[in-house]
Amino acid sequence: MFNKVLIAEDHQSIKLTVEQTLKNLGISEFQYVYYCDDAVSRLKRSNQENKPFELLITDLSFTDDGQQQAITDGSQLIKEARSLQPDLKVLVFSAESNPDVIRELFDRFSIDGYVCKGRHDAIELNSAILMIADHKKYVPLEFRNAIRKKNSYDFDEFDTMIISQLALGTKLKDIPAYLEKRGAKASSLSSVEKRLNLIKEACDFTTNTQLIAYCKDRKII
Amino acid sequence: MKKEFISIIALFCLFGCQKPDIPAPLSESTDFKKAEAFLHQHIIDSAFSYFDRVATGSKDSLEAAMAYNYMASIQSDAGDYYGAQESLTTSLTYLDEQKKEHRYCLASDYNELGMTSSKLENFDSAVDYFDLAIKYSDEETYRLIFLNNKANAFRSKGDYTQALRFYQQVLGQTKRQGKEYARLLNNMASTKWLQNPGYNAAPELFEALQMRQIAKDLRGQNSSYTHLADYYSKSKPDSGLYFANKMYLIARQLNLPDAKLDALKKLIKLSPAEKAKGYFTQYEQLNDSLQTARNAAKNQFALIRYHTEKSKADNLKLQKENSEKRYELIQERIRFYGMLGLFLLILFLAVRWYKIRKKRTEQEKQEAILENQRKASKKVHDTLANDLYRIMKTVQYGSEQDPEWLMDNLDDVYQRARDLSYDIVDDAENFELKLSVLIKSFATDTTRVILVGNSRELWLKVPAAVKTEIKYIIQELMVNMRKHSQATDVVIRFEKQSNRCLISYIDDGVGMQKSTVFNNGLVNTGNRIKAIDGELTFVTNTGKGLEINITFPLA
Repeated sequence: MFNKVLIAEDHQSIKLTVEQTLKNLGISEFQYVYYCDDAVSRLKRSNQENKPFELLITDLSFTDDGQQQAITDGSQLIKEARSLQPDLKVLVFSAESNPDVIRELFDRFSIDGYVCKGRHDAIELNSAILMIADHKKYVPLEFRNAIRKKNSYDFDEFDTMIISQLALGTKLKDIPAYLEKRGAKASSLSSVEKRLNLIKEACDFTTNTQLIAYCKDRKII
Repeated sequence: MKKEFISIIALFCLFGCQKPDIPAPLSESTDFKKAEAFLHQHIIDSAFSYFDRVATGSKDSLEAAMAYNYMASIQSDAGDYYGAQESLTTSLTYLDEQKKEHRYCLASDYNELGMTSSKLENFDSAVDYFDLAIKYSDEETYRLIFLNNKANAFRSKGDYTQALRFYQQVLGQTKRQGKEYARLLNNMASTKWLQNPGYNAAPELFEALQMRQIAKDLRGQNSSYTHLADYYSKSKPDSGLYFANKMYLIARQLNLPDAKLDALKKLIKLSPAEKAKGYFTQYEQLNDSLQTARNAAKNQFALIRYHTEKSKADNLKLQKENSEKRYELIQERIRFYGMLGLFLLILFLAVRWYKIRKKRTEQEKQEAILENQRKASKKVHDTLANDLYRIMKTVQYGSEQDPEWLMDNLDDVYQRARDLSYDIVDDAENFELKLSVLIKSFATDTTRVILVGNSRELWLKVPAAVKTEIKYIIQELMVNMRKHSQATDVVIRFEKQSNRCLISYIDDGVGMQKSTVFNNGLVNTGNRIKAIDGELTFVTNTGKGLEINITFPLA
């Protein structure tokens, strides 16, 4: 079970639910922040003190109250948090109900769980934390079908870099070094392989050759 | 050459004619004075030139008239009688017979006209002119001179009776002594003799000669010798020859060419054949040089007048050219300002048109927003407010005591309120995520949808309004794809090109039929692209697929 949890949420209303759930699970050390920037600085400090947070519970939408912030929404916070601390577990607790958006969060940001604010959120939150603590992903029941991989993919800069290098004949093991030169954070051979598998799965290809041929044909690279 | 034009008055005296001195005008210009000075020094062409300058330039009409009168005298002396008459008639146009100070000049002009007419043997006109001269002469002396001239004209014409009648009138008012009396006596005697060849004119002719010799009047003596030579030429040729010789002597003394010629003519007629031949040669030489001189003089005068006229004409021409240039300049200026005005007008209209158009699109936008807001507020009212009211009333009257019922109902309202918030405000945050979700939602088991380069950085500087338009543009393309293309593969690539963003859409479908190109959705898409200053181009549109490029400026 988690010992140290960070909660990023600008509404007081969920405090009750989250606090109750954490207490029920026996987690006593948790901190609240109202701004994403504050969350980032807490994460940094705890890393320096060698007492890192184990779980980040965050909302997606933060109200702009006029205070200038570097990070203004949850997805950015997740990205930044992961680059600071790759092993940090992330649970998104939000009102967002669009399954496509939620799927995107799992795909792109590799979040560990999602709970939708609503009637039964206390129960879901409890289950989610339990599953994440067990290194499993928690996808809400109503989204499980929708989250199923669809016949689509969003290539980002590093995706096209990886495929371009493969197309040029660069060996897979040399690609992480190339990506790091190009400014990619935390790229390892396994992460590159994971990425390729994800793409192939999404696009319904079985081999890298198929993927490269397709990308060339479609002017993706 | 100048020597030939010795004296103006002298010539007329020779032929028994007379020209009175012209009284000076009240105020003479310097040019006029100079002209007179040249005339007295017998520098004839300079005098003529200055008179011409006065005549064409003076603002005093009397001075101009007098200048023309002088010019006529000079021309007449040089034998240019037509030129003289032209000058005189011009002189007359400057004169007003009602003005007393003009009368003496009028008289002088008419007298001169009479004399030139006599020279041109137009005696009837001459007589008329002399009558006019007499009419305008206010002084007795002048009147007698003009009367004498008139009598001379009659005598030249051969009307001796009339001539004698007028000589008689002059005689009645002339003292029986002096030059005038001698001339009159001489003229009358010769006229009487001409009228009646048997008349003994000798005593009177000699009396006149004697008077002239006493008065040392050489010109008078010359005249007397002329008449005596004529008188004796038939009856006593010896005496005739004698007087002709005398005549020639005096003519040479006076150095008067015309007088010399006259004398030589008589000598040729009266001399023995051998001598006559010598005289004839002399006559011819003299006559030739005189003619040449006179022609030269005529040309000289014409030239002087031409130069004056020319400089005047040149002045006028220059003035005309100046005014023409000014006119052209004004025209050019009008053209320039006209063009400028037209340009400004077009500019003004263009700016106005642009502003009106901009305002209209702005209004349309605002109306669309308002319409959205109206719809949203209606929805809030219809779904949320009504439901909340219903729950409130149920709790108030206690018909439902179960907290679960309340929780379920409130949760329902909460979820609808949440969904509604997405409809009302189109959040521009996390745009790349929302765009990705939107595009991917068109993927099916048979249609693969791929996005490339849809990065957060790309959309950072794009205004929210543009993002919204892009979302609708892409949505319209995707809807069109699903409806018509039968595509199995769609790639949408985003690319930053310096200060523009390129969105390329590629599918492997059947392409777009011409009839479907401009359906309503695509027309809207075209308008949206225009609204963000974007451009849409069909790269390929074959049966094997469709490729469309959309570009729009970044910030």
